[in-house]
Amino acid sequence: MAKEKTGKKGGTYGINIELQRELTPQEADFVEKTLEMTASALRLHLKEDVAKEKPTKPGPVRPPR
Amino acid sequence: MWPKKNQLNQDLFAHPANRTASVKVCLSSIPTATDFEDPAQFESEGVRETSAEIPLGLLALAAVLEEIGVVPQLVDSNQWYIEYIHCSAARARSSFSQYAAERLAALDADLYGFSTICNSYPVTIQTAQHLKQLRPGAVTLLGGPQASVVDLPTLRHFPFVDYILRGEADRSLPEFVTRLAAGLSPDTVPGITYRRAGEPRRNPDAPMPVELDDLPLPAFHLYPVETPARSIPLELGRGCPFGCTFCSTNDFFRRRFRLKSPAKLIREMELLTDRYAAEYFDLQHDMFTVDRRRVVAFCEVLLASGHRFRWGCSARTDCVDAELIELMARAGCASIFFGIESGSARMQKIIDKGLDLDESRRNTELCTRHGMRTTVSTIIGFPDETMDDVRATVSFLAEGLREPEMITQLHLLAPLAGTPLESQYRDRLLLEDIYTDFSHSGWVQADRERRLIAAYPDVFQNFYAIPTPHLDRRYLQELREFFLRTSSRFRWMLAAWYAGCGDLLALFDEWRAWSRALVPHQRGCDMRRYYAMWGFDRDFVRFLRARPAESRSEFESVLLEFEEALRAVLRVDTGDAPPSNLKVLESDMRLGLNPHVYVLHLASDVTRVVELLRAQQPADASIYHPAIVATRRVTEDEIEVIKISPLAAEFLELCDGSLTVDEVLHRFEARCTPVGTLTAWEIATRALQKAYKTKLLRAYTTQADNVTGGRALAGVAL
Repeated sequence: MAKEKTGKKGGTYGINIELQRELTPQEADFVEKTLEMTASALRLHLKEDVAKEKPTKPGPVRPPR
Repeated sequence: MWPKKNQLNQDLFAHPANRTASVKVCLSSIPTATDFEDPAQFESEGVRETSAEIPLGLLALAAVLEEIGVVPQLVDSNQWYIEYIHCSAARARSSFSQYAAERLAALDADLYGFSTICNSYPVTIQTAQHLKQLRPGAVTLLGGPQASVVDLPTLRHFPFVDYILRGEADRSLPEFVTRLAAGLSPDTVPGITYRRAGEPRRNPDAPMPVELDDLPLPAFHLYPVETPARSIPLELGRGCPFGCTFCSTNDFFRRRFRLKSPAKLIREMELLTDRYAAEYFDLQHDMFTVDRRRVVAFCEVLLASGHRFRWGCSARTDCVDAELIELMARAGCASIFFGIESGSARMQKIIDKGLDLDESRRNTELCTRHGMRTTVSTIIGFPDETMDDVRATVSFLAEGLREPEMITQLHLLAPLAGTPLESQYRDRLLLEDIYTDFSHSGWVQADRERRLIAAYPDVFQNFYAIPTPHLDRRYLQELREFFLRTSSRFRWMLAAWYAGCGDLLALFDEWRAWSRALVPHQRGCDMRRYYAMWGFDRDFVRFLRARPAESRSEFESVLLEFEEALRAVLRVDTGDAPPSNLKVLESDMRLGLNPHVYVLHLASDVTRVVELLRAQQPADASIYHPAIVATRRVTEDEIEVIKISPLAAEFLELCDGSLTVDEVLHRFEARCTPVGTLTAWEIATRALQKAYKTKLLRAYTTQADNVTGGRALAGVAL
């Protein structure tokens, strides 16, 4: 990914989120460790969450995530 | 009373070939949302999801009517309720049942059919009453699980209900409509309950459809199915051969196990995928896995078809095994429901469920390990139950908390009409303000409904309670509400407590003693409201901190630190995250954190605690390493905790809404050290990419756009 002009706006540039230079294994490992963002199994409901259960009949309440 | 021919649509018989087509039939879905009147409750995700469910039974009946040339008008009662609840003028003027009746009357149908279940039966009855006043010439017909079992008292008490069609109506409803169109009395229709000389009478049951493959595809085309459809219900089959004492659906399908053929099912799944881009199928059958051989055949045909459908089903833990679970998972089973009912071996026998609980533990865990979202449902409040039985049930659920894909449910028993339990205790039922969640999920039930329930106990049994001589029902209700909230909001704290002392009821008892002055116990509805709201979360964290430090386990201490850190930053975010699918972020865009993204610096590693609890390992030194975590919203009401590195945290902290992409990248670049061929600029842009793709960040064009975004601008501290 380069710091390049895109020409979309005068004097600005764009960072392309998708197009990236392929990293070497060492570089990828470094990025993974130093910029770690790893999802954990720790999840919680934050809303005033009433009726989380289906009120009328049992069953696989919701499609899985 | 059967309407006279001239009371029906006058051109009904003008064209004999089109007789049935000239009957105007309206079928009304079950109003499952009407339990909820409080806007705070009504707007919740759970209610909205329930309200949005496609009424499969109604569409199945619509399809068989289409086969005889009748295209019914379908009424989505939940949609009407949504419109009613958001119309203050309508609410001020009338009850929902009056409002619905007025709209139904305006449809000018000859026949109004209502699907019924126990919890909305009072609303259905009142709607039929108002409708009959407005359209006395129209026929009112009830069907479905509740009307089928309380048919005689319903007709005895409510003259505005003309007929009840009991059981499966795939064949009897078309016959009913055909006779109606021909001007004939439907009194001879099999499965009908009708009046003669004012007295209700029952015809013998209608023959049930044995070959479900012969039934048409439910009339999805008559219903506004969203595309892509997140979830589409589809009938796998019918009939559970078991005889649990609390269950009413086994008798509705006369315990005759039937399944559609795999080929038919797959054809239907293909068709619905083509038509609605279905992402998931809710395959409905009370007990799919009773015939292992046929489940295997279904899965194998599904696998051989090359489709990768995702689906869910219901099962018993003694009707699955490791091999079958693996096969089902491979064939796309992503969600499974198990009614465990009780964690007490003694109660398993008493209620005729008969599960081996060790086998249940093994198989539910296996399902989660195969990635299935596994719902485990239990019931408390059985008449023979003791506190030891309740403790065993809560313990069974507590063991499941360490599996993130396990959904634990704890319900209060409802004496469903026609069940062995209800029959046994019919003369001893109690009406109190502790009604079960199964019958009414709202916080408060309207007075008019309570009066109706009190006046007709032989129609509305499910709102009553069976005496529990060994248990305090108010305690049970509070336990249920406590568990519902804590298992979703403080799941790992509960898991940690259970891992430490093996008794979750001890936590509840301690909490109950501490919170006596906080929890409104006077009325059941107030107590339920308290446990559903933020205030409980705040009080529960205070309670945990107030406990003697020496009584806390190491896991609990770390989790408490996390909870307190979260509480310190938590705010009400009122908006949604903006789309995070931009391909290019312009350098002059501003960067802010998405709603519900908080960065927490912790003295200990809460994610490690969760790992150890999942693995059933004891605490070790690794939990005391300082950790940085970020929260992220994964569904509308659920956040996920992400472990992040110090450098990633530095990057996120630059994204406070005040800096542009260019400014953030250059400031961060200055803090990075090149490594090998990787430049500092590349490290900065990789950080941007990762954080954006992980949906921690939002990019927006001007400060004014940031109305729902970064923490600095969001709502009110809690």
